[in-house]
Amino acid sequence: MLFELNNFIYSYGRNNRFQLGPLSLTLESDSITALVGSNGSGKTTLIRILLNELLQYGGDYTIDSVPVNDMSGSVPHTYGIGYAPEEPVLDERLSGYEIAYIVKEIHNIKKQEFDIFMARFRQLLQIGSWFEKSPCREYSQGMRRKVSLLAAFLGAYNYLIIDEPTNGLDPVAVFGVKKLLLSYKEQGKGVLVSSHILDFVEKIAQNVIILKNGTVAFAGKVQELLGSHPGMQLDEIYYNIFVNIPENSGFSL
Amino acid sequence: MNLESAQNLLIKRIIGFNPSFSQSVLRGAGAGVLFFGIFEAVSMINPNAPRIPVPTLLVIAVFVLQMLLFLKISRILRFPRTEDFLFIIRISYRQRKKIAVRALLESQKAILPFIASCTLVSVILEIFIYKERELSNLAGVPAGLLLFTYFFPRLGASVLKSNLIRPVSRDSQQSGVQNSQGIRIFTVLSRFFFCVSNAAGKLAPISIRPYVTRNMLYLFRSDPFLFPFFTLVAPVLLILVLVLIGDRELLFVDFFTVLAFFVLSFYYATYFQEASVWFRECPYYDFSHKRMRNAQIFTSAILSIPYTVIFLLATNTALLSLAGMARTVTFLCALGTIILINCRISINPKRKDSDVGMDLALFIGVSIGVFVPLFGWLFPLAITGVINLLGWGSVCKNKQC
Repeated sequence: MLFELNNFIYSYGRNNRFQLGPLSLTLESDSITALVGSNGSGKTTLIRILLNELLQYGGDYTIDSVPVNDMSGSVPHTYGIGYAPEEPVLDERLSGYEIAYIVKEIHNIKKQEFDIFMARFRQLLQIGSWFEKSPCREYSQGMRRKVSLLAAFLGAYNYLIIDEPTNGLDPVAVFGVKKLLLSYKEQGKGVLVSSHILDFVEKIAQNVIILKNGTVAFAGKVQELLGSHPGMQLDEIYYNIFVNIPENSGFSL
Repeated sequence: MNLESAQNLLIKRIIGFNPSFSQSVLRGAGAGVLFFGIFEAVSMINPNAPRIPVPTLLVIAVFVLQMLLFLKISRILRFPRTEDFLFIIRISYRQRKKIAVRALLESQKAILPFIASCTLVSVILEIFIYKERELSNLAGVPAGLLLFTYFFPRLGASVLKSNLIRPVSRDSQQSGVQNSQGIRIFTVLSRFFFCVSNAAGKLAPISIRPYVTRNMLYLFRSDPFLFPFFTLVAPVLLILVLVLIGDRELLFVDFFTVLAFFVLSFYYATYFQEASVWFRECPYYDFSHKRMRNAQIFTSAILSIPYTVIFLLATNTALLSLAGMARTVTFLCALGTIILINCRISINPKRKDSDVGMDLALFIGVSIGVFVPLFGWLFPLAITGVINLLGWGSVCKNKQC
């Protein structure tokens, strides 16, 4: 699976106050790509564009060389893309298990496969009896995040897009998410993770896209970035990029 | 005023003055004599007057009374705004629940001695005056009556305690004093709801099956007590009405069946409306306008099955003719149109209160068809056309679907 954005521009707000792009990006489905950037740099906007939720843009956006504008139906369900938004949106009256079961039915996942995945997910993310018993409206922030991630994983038979996956999660669950993401990637599937936690990104991602004021400040391999700044951690490099590099410095994929 | 006396005051507002034990016993004994005189002794003097044994009479009276009392008390949980005593609006769900449980048990303290003494006196009078010797009449019915009077309020209190009465939306706010526990139901009940919803989903086409299951679950989870209760009680009441009507040729059979389903559809529509909003918002559902509408139509169609069965059983012999066939077609078209009316209500997020008038007008159009022989089905079909002309005002209007 291949997402391609060429000379892409999207703007919104009064007098087009915010502009994402122009940018050119390629996302492949065999690696974990981290999307980092300061608040308001356009991470969530980029994700919403990839999911075809925002339509009035300039330039080209294709998935597997098919222009997204020509498609009918929802992009996530047509291409098997699982999505967990920054603020989990859940069916408030249903329990977590009921949501998981319905997602399983929507994607025709076999019962055995579902049971195995659920057991692993429950173990890694420490999911308790609340999952079956209580409706989502009673869940804490962390519980909601877990259910949102679960629904995204179940729907992601090709690609996974998650926005701030560790928000509200305890350390055990963060470790569980890491393990799940890595094993998902080992199946040859791709992940786009938007996160502010650079330690998390450094440990799981092979590629990184750094957004700054709507433009790409860096896009490439994490190892390449670390290699070009010997002896520095990702957070230090990130700081340098944001403090020293001027806007539209010409970095592109 | 301390909390205890405030609660006592509220309970008094809800159930009225509660007599003491001895007062209840005395009043019960007096009522026993009076009822025996009116409903049994008169038939000894005038053989043409019907005799209704007092315990049997009390069974019906207590059943209706307890039901009404439970509904009245549970209103303070579900509809606190309708109470004329404004203080009720300001107290939390948890406090209202506590008051409701106490009110129910307090009312039992007054009703049980009353019923017991009333039954006892009437049974004694039946033995000595009416010379009644039938053991089932003397012991069976009174024992059942007393058990019901004892257990029903306790069952009602358990229903209230277990959060099965849905709180109002303000109770569910995440901040402020109104915060409630929400509806946390027992695991067994949760599994039961899940199994029933799953079984209902199996009746739908594969493409919308998960969404029909989800709609059913949503209804159960939204109102875990009243949804199953109304869904079960409405067909039973309808059967009683049809038994009273008696004549299966009469078109009122069709009308009451259609009416019962329409009334219940109105109740379901509120929850469907809420469910359709989440259907659109949740990223893991494959939302499309068509899919949402079809899922709601199928869910309503599944909920209409008992009414179709009741209609077919109530009118079976009357259907074996051309007129009978036309009557069945009219009935089925009417049910289908009501499902569309319900769907129109539930997928329109900008619905105004005044739209109820339009829905009633559409229903009247459908129900006129029920009374027209042979060509009655034209009316529901015409209303279907009107619904399409009026538009659906869907939740995804002006958005990509």
